[in-house]
Formats: sequence, structure tokens, C-alpha cells
Amino acid sequence: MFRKFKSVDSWVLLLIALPGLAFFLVFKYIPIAGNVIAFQDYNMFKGVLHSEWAGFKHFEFMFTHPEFMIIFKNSLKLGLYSIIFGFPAPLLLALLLNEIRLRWFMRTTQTLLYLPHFLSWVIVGGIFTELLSLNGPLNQIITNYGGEAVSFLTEPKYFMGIITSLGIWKEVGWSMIIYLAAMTSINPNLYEAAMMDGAGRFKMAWHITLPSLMPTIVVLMLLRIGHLLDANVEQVLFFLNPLVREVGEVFDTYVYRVGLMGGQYSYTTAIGMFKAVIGIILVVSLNKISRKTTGESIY
Amino acid sequence: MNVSRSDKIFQWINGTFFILLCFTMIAPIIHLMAVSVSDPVYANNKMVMLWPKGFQLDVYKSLFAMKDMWRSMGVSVYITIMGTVLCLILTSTLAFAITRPMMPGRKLITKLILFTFIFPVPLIPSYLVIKSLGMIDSLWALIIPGALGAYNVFIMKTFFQGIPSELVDAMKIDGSGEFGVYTRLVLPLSLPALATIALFHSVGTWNSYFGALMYIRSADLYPLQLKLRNMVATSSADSGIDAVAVSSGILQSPETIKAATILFSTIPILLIYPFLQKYFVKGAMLGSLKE
Amino acid sequence: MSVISLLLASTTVLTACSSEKAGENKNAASGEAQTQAQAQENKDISILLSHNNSGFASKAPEEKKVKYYEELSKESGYNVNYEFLGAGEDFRQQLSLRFASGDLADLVRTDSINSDVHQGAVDQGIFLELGPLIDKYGPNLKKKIPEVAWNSPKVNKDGKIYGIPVLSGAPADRIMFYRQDMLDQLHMEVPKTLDDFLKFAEAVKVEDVNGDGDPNNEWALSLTDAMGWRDVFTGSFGVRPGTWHVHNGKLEPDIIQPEMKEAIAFYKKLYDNGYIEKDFITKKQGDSGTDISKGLVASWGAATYQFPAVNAQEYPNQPNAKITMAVPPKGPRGENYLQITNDQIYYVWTIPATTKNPEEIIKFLDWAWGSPEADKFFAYGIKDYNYTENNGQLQFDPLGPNNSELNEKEFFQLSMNVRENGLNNPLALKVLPDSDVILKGYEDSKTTMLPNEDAMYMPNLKALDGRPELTPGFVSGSLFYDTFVKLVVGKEDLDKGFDAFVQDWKQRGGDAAIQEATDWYNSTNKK
Repeated sequence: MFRKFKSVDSWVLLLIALPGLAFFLVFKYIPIAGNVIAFQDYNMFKGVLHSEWAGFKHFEFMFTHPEFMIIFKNSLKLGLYSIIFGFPAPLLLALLLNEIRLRWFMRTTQTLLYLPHFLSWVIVGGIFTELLSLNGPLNQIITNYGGEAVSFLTEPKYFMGIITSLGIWKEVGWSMIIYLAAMTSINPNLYEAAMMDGAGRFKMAWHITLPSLMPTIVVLMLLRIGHLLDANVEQVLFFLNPLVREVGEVFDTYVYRVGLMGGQYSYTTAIGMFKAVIGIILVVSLNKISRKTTGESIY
Repeated sequence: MNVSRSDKIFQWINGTFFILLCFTMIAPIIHLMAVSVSDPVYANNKMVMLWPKGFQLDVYKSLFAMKDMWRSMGVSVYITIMGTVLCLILTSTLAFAITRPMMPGRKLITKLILFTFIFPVPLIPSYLVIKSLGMIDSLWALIIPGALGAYNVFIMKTFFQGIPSELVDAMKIDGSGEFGVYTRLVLPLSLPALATIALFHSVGTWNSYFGALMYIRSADLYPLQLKLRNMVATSSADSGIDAVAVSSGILQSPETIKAATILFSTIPILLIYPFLQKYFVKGAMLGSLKE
Repeated sequence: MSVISLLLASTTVLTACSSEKAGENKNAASGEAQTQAQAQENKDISILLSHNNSGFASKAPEEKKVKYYEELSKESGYNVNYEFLGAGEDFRQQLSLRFASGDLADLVRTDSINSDVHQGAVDQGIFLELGPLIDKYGPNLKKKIPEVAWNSPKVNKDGKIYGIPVLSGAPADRIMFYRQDMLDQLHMEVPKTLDDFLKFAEAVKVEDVNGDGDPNNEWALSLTDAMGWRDVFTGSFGVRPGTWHVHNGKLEPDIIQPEMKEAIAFYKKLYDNGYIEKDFITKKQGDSGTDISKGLVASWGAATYQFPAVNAQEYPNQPNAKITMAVPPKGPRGENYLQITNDQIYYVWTIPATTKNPEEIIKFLDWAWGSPEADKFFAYGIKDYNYTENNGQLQFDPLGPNNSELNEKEFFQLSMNVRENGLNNPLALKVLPDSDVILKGYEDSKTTMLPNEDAMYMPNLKALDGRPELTPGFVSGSLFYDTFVKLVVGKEDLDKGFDAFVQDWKQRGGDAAIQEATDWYNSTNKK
């Protein structure tokens, strides 16, 4: 590494990177150091430097919380659902959209698909609460066909499904953009050659498009996994109610509640830290696996 | 013959699928439009679906007459443009540096950046940093601290790594330095990536209110989203029952005003997509590669 | 006294006029001008508070608010400078940053000097001790703010005063609203007892009381996810969530008492009989106005000050819609409590120790409490804008455009009001349409106060710190709230479920909380 400093290129590169590095230092690393309050009894008037140390007290408090395992399981489940179903969705949609031949149709579709991203969860949640309510249109259809009205929003078994699918619906068009951008850099000659070999569109998608997108897919996947235990608080809180809490309470909603009581900075920081450590372990190990299997990695 | 027939069927199914999907995605916006031009009584009673009832344009008249809304829009436009330019510069330089083998400490830096993506950045220390830089109650607080994020750096890095190394090597052999590689090769070839990041960042900046809530004090400097948040705020059952907040929730924000304000603050940012879209259209790199 | 303040006011105006020049010639200024400038500075008061989602404070542009600031400055002789932060959780977050960084104002709004938002502030000497200053400069504060508020731990720590109460303006304001037109249609009176209510509810269920042709879309009572606000019946059984009372020498929360089970059983009956909506718990409080105006609900828990607006609003296709205020029906033991007797504190002013001119701040608050001009401003706003005066006859139209748009009158009555929730002030009430009805509503409301002498001043319990699930009230995420809803909708057996809840709550820290509360109770009552 030190040998590199002899080269002019290295100095130039450092210079190029300098603004970004300085930014990370000032706006990320200095505040991140504030996470040490997880090991303190933080008092905002004494500050990080003078608050008393508390060791692992707040972590113990978290692990001994009677619902810790339930919350952990829910967070994990929601994270996995949103990865298993939510992660492939934009990719699939991008591949399908890519098959559309009419240029104007493709462009219009692309523009319309990302609209829900711009609506807040309060708006989207309100609309879907109406649709799914006991007297809502969906239940009217069900009862018209002789079925019995279903209380979608209070039945625990529907909760994860609703959260996951609404999340996909809202963000799929938006997340797709990155794949569309990545597709632009695929060499068209590859397709021409494949077509001459008589490959169908499915084969081309499988053998050309997908492999070309692999680096992007792997990076997005690893970044997503780093936030496995994170949820969209705004969304989950909107749909959470006492009847579905046992399946819907996740770390982020719990932290929100503790935060509402105020003053629990050390405790909530400890929870955040726990999630982050899990995230780091997952990313590091999956990065290793990915490098060995797909050859792609994030670092 | 057989192939083209199945192909045709696929095209039809695929097209229909997208039409249906698009309908579900545009319906909420149409609903908001219909509500915003309906009679407030129908709107408040949720009697408007996709078509206005009791047509009126008063809400827009009064909305357009509000000077503070236009001022806030100006603020939003300003911080979005400034923030996006800054974001592109910071993200692309850093991403470029960590893709180059000659960069000292490349792996370590990459790991350290990844670390900031996963580890939470607590609010109080961030506030103190921003305060010590004198950015409280200044628009810089909405432009600078959010300008660079690990996520964008990794996206950009991935795109940069996709540039064929032969091109870089050829340039180096021609005697170009790293800075030349960055400005004359990597940037021009990465327009789709730059457009993507620009889109992500501008939309993100436009849509966020949190920074303004924490760092901005003068009402003159409120971006549109903070105005919107005040406009559509309803009393929340979660934040403890406050008698006054609840009383306000009942009557004060007619649905028509809410809907119009949402559209007013969303449509400007929607307009940037068509401009960036051309960079996502296939084959943009074709010419440059053939050279 | 008034001569002095007049003099002060005039110098303020004078210095204000020449302030630009004074700034320019700062170095050359004579000693006299300097003291004048200093006096001027002493008259600047910055106020940090919450707009609390009140229409005008949160939505109107700054230029429309300036006239009120100027008016108050003119009347009081102080340059007031209001900074409105957000509401609810936003406010808490913003305020915590302000405390953490020390960017405060002369007057800072908080829930209590012990609030968790600025935990430890009193011990760290962040707040000025105000007792001596109030004794000296705040005769009206002492006189007008009741003892019950001064004694509260929200302002008082170990006999020392660190905060000034902002009053709720009325000891009680919770009440029930009934749709009078529906009662008329059913030839019924306002239910006096729970049995009456059940009869009323059955009639509402059977008849098409909103006249839309569908007899199946009416419910007797509106419930939402904000149960703490919408709950009107637990008090009919003598208990209220959030309250503690002494039982057999122990201070225990009402939520674990057998009476609470009776209350839940009553709600369950309402639910089972179809008198409340089946999916009430997914109704957002913010949307509940729609159910009300559509005529889907015949009664709901409300507050007296909402009456004029709710009575006047449009009920589509229900031309006869009319609201009646009434106390909740009486329960088996003749009780109908709708609110807890409290310390009458709406929120608390604190003065940071760094404030340069605390005595002036106290004087300003004293002016707000003591002067007729202040009374007038906080009730009626600005002359010839919000109200007019003809031959000494004051004319205030609460529904006039300058008062009603964005609820503008709320701005001076509530948002800017440094002494109380002025919506409840008699001066503001008496000019409302149907003011006699409203004033009677307040009187009725007072009869529904649940005695609370045991735990009114109880401090936050350490045993409940960081345990939102143990909160003994309708707080979402609490064991009590979850259990309440599960039992009402029949997801769990009433008896078994309630007993299990009590045991669970106690075991998980409730016992410790009871112990702590009892110890506190015993120690304070020994004194």
C-alpha cells in the first residue's frame, strides 16, 4: 500500500477522493461515534464525554425484554419477506418492461409506474385501508359472490402479506429504474449475435441480460441485507393495531414507542446498534459467499 | 412461424399486464386530482372516487395566490438543484477513486463507507456537528449534510466498474492521468449512472421534510414538503392525546386543500423524469463503444 | 405601576424608531443611549413553543402572523418573538435537540420540568429557579394561577418552583356529543343510564336514522384508534385508564381493578350487539370526522369547545342534523366520570438559566395575567380586524372570515396565549353562538370529574422507565390497550384474558411500579 504513494496517480486519486472522504469523516463518522451512548447512561446536558458509563446494561435490558424474541422474529420475518418477494420484483418488472417493443408505450409505462413512490404512507395507507376495510370495495366483491367479509386489517395472518405487497406496489417502479439504467450499458452486439444463433427472448434474458445485471444485483442485494432488520416505520405503524401487534411489532416500531416516552437515548441506541451489528455480520459473510460463487462483491 | 405466434401472445399478455399495473399506480393520483377539484363537502365525506363531484377550482385559486407556497417551492427547487449538483460531484469523485487500483487504502475506505451505510447516524451528534459548522437555519443544512451517501457511492462504483478496462488502459497508454480518465472517459460513459443518481438524490431531497424540521427555523426557508406536512397533518393517536390537536383534526384541513397541496408539491419533481429518461433508454452507449 | 409601564412603553416605541441609527452609532453613543439600548434589549422576549397543529399557527404564512406579534408587543411593551415548533412527536424531537445544543429561548414550552425530553434538566441547573422572582415581580401569577397547579411536580421540585403553569383554562371540558336529530327521530331522550344507552343503541341499529335508505350503516358510538379520547364508558364504572387510586393501602392503577373488567364487558356488549363498528380499531382518529358528518355515528366523546364548529358543520343530506352535549350515561353505581381531576396544567413555561432578563420575563407574564388589555387580546384579538367596538359595545364574530379561516381566532386565543388554553376562557366563550349551551356544557363537564387526590402529583415512576408496554393507559403498544381491544372483540375470553393481563402486567414490572407508587404515597402523606 505504501508503495503506491510513490506514484503520481495515487496522489491524484487521493485528491479526487478528498472531498468525499472529508464529508464522510465530518458528517458520518463524527456523529456515528455518538453511538457510544449505548454503553452509557446518557445525559444530554453532560454530553457524550461526561455521561456515566453503564457497560452492557442497556443491551441486557433489551435481551431480557419479555417480547424480545417476538420482536426479533417479526423483524426478521418482515425483512426476509421483503427481500424474498420485494427484491426480485423490480428486476422482474424491468426485464418484462424491456420486452415491450413500442417505444412510446414503454416510456409512458415507465413514467407511470414510479408514481406511487411520491405518495406518503399516510395517503397510500389511507387508500388501502378504505379498500380493505370491512365495508370496503374488496369485501363488497367477496360478499357479492357469496363469501364472508374478511377483516384483512385485523387478522394477524394477513399482516405480513399486506405490508410486503403494499411495499412492493409502492416502490417497484422506482426500484426498477436502477436496473433500467444498468441495462443501457449492455452491449447490443451480444443480443444481435444471440438472435442469429436463434435464441428466444427468454434465453436472451437469461443468458445475456441477467448476467450483465449481476454486479448491480449483487450490490443492491448486499446493501439491502445490511438493513435486514429495518422496517419502514411509517408504513408499519400505519397498519399496526392491537389485534395484529403480536405479528407486526418490529424493532423500529418498538423503538418508536420507547422514543415517545422520551429520554431513553441510550436504550434506543443500543437497539439500533444491535441491528447494525447483525447487518454487518450478514453483509460481511454474504459478501464472502458471493465473491466465491458469483465472483461479484461489494468490496 | 410458431415462435412469432407465441411471441405475439407474450407481447399481448405483457402489454395488458403493464396497462393494468399502470392503472393501479396512477389511480391514487387521479383520485387526488378529482378530490382537489370537488366540492369540499363531497370530498370530506369520501364521496369522490376517480371523477370530481361538484366541480370547483377555488382551492387552486387560493393555493396559487399563496405567496409563501411559491416561496417554499423556490426553496425546494434551489436545495434540490444545489444538492444534486453537489451529490453528483462528491459521489462520482469518491466512487471513481475507490474503483481505481492505484488508490491508496482502497479496500479499507470502501469498507469504512459501507460501515456508515449500516450503522445508524444518531440525531443529536449530527445536529451538533451541523450547528458547529454554523449551518443551523441556513439552506446549506439541507444541501450539504445529505449530499453524499454510501448507497449512491456503491451504485456509482458498480457502474464505473462496468466500463471496459481496455478503454481505460488505452487512455493511460496515451499518457492520460487519473483525472483525465475521470473527466474524459468515465464521466461521459456513465451518463445513465449519473442520471440515476441525480434522479434518486433530487427526488430524495425534494421529498424530505425532516432536515428542515430539525435545522430550519425561519418560515421563509421552509421547503415545500414541510409546508405540506403542516397542511395534511392530522392529529395522531400515537403521540398521546392532546385535546387541542384532536379538536383541530376534525374540521380544519378540508380534503380538497390537502389533495391540491399534495399535487402542488409533487408535480414539479415528477416533471424531471422525462428529462432524465432518455438516459435510461437502451443503447445510449452504443456509439461510444464502437469507436 | 401603570404610569411606569406607560413610560416604559413609550420609550420602547421611541427607541424602536431610532434603533437603526442607534445601531450605526453604537461606538459613539452616549451613556444614556446605551442604557436605553440595553433597556430595549431587556424588553425582547423570545418564546419557543409548539403550534400543536392548530390551523393558523401551523399553516398560515409568517406575514399574516406579524400583526398579532406587533399588537401584543404594542400592548405589553415587550418585543415578543414567537418561534413555533411542530406538534406531537416532531415537537419532542425538535425540543430535545434544542436542549441538547442549548439553543433555547427566554420562555420554553415543555410538558413538565421533569419531562423526559430534557431528562435531568433540573438537576443540571438548566432551568432558573423562579420562586423569588415570582414573589417579587409576579403578584398576578401568584394570585391567578391556582394552588393546585403550583403544587404540581410539573413545576415544583422539593418546594422550589422551576416552571410557570399554563392553565388548561377549565377544570373540565370533556363531554359527549349526541345527534339530537337522531334522538328526535327515535322519540328518545339523551340516555341517562347505561341501560338507556343500550336501548338507544339498539334503536339506532334498527332504524335508518341518517335517512340514507340503508338501515345498516348506523352505529350508536364512534370509536377510533384514539381510544384514550373516544372512551366514554370506563368512567361509568368508576375507573379511568391512566389513573391510580389507593386500594387496601396500596396505590394501584385503575387498569387492573375489577371495575375495569366490567367496563370492558360493557364495550364487549356494544361490540357483540353491533352497536359499534366491527373494525373500529382500524379507524384513524383523523378520519373520524367523516363518519360523524356522514351520520354513521349517533354519539361520541368530545370536548365542549368543539361544539360550535361541530354543530355548524355541514352534514350532507341530513338537513336536520343537530348536536346535543350531554354527560355520559350513569353506570351501575351511579358514576359517569369522563375525565380525571387534574392539576389544570396545559403545559409549562420554563426559563433557562442563561436568560439575561428573567425578571422582565416574569413581568411580561404578570402583565399577561393581570392586565385588561391582555384579557382582551387573548380573547378577541385585534380591534377592527378581529372585533369591533361600537359605543363601548364589543362585537366579535367567531365565524367571520378574519376569525374562522384556518381557525384564525385560535391563534391569539390558544397558540399565542402565554397563560392558558384560551379557547376555554369565559370571555372567549361568551361571544360564541349558543354560548349559554356551551357554558352549560362546561358546568356539566365538571360533574364528571373522577376524584384523583391519591395520585394527582405522582412523579414518573422509575419502574416504568423505558417500558411503554406497561403504561397504565390507552397508549398503543401497551399491554392494557392490546388486552382491552382483544377482549372487546372477543379474541380472548373476558375473564381469563383479563386475569391473565393483570398477572402479566404485575409480573413484568407492575408490582414494582405499585410498590414505588405506594412508597411515594406513604412518604408524601406522612409529611
